[in-house]
Amino acid sequence: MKQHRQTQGRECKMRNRYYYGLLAVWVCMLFAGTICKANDNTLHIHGFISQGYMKSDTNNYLTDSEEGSFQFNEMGLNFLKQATDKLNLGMQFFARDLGPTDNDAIMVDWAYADYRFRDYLGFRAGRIKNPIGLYHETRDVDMQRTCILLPEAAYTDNFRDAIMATNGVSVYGDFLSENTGNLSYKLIIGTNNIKNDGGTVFAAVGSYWDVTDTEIGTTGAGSLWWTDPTNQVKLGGTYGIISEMDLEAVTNQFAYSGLGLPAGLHSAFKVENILSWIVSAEITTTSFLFAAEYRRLETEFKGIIKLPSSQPDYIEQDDTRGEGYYALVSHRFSDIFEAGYYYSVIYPNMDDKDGDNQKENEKFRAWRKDQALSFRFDMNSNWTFKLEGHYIDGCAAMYNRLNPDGFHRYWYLFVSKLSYSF
Amino acid sequence: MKNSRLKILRLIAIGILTVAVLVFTFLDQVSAAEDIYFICNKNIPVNTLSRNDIKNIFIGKKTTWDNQQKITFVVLKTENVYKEFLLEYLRKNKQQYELYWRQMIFTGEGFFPKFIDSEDKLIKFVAETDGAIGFLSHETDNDTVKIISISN
Repeated sequence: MKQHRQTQGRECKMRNRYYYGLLAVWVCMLFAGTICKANDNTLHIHGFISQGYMKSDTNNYLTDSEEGSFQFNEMGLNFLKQATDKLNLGMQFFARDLGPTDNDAIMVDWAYADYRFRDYLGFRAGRIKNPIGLYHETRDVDMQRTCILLPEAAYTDNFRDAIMATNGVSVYGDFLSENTGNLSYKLIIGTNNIKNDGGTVFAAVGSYWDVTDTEIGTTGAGSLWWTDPTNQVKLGGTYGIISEMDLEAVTNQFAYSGLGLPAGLHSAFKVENILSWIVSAEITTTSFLFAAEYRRLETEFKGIIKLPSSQPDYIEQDDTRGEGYYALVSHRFSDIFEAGYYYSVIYPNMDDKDGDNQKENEKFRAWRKDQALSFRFDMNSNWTFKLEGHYIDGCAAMYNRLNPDGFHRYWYLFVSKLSYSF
Repeated sequence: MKNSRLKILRLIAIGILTVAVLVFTFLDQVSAAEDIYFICNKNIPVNTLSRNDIKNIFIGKKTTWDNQQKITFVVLKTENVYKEFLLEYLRKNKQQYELYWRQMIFTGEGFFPKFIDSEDKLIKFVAETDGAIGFLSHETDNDTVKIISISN
């Protein structure tokens, strides 16, 4: 009872935090235009807010999508200032809700000082977004793309909060060439914090534990991009690593039905050398965009469950190599209308693509092949509305917790989103 | 047998897609109908810029002149000139250009460009701002700014 009250209190505080945050975002949006126009050398304020809706015919995807869910929003507000000709300061607050994760808690998305010594050499210090693939750094800004859900082959929500950003230092720059195009690089090193209820925790420990404490070791990321002289072809790769991640957890009320373990058993999980790399290609013309990416994600997992009485600890070890790839095309038909299509394939364990290690009737949990058709309507430069339909084969890398009754192999997902940015 | 057929079909599909991408890439280029004229602040130590320099300046990659003075670029946002400038020098449409700068803003890597909606105001801004560069739809004999010639 007491625990229930504490939970209710936490939820209430969280809800209040959300409403205050929302209010702050909207007040700033109301005044931002005036502030921005007042003086270009003072403080620049920009922001975005979006509200989505998800509905699936079966399987709960990221939220209670089978019933239809509005727990799918993002909002951000940033402040940028040019302190000197070479020094910029900025930070962005961000909140989102996606089913059971995040619940609109406000966080610092990025905040850093940026000293650009030369075009080919700059330094950043603070909380910096990691470069992962073509679109990770703006994955939460819905207006930046044609589709609503980025292809999970490269932009999975698992480990999202762990790889999102790094608290550390960065070196970056652009080598500009007249004849051979531009070469841009970025290197970041530091560490990160993750939430007890974030996507990383769900991905690492599954559905039968509640995580009580988390700690992350050293994190690093890097990118190298080449852009052709006409500014239409972009090729490159990104690399990210987390040296280790320690999670303290206790079994929850689902553990007995799922694993035969009583609730309240203390467990420790360690995931080491989380390594992710992506190679990418993007071609843009004035009306078409073509992109394709291939991703590898490797993890070394160790779980220690402290069993009751004098029984020895139960230890589980698993090293996994996952892969994903996608290709997308989008076409702008007019100033108002754009449409896109992508095909995305994800294998969380590339050594078991046929699902031989899965339960006999759930082999399709070894893969997810997603075809998406997106329609984007730009009502003006601030407002965008999108509609998107998915036809999906397989249920890899989906939360057990949201699907206690099991999964269905073939399923449809419908998503829509309304976004505003300034 | 069925698998090898599927593989062949997949290869054919990838081949068709690749050809389609290349064809669209080259067919989708539209040449600009009008000339664009560049002006800069009189204290800038250059008289000629390449098309590549123009591209890198207006996407924020080239941020300083050769004497390390900061570059301030300004975009003339009158409908036709703006579109033609983007097409001719950046190979972008206006949605792509503005999305590019939103990406810079929402990652903290840049500031939205300064847009000006009249040529007289743009000339005045360039004349009064150290390190400034902009473009016009016609030649100007205004001696408060410097004319920049463009090499290929």
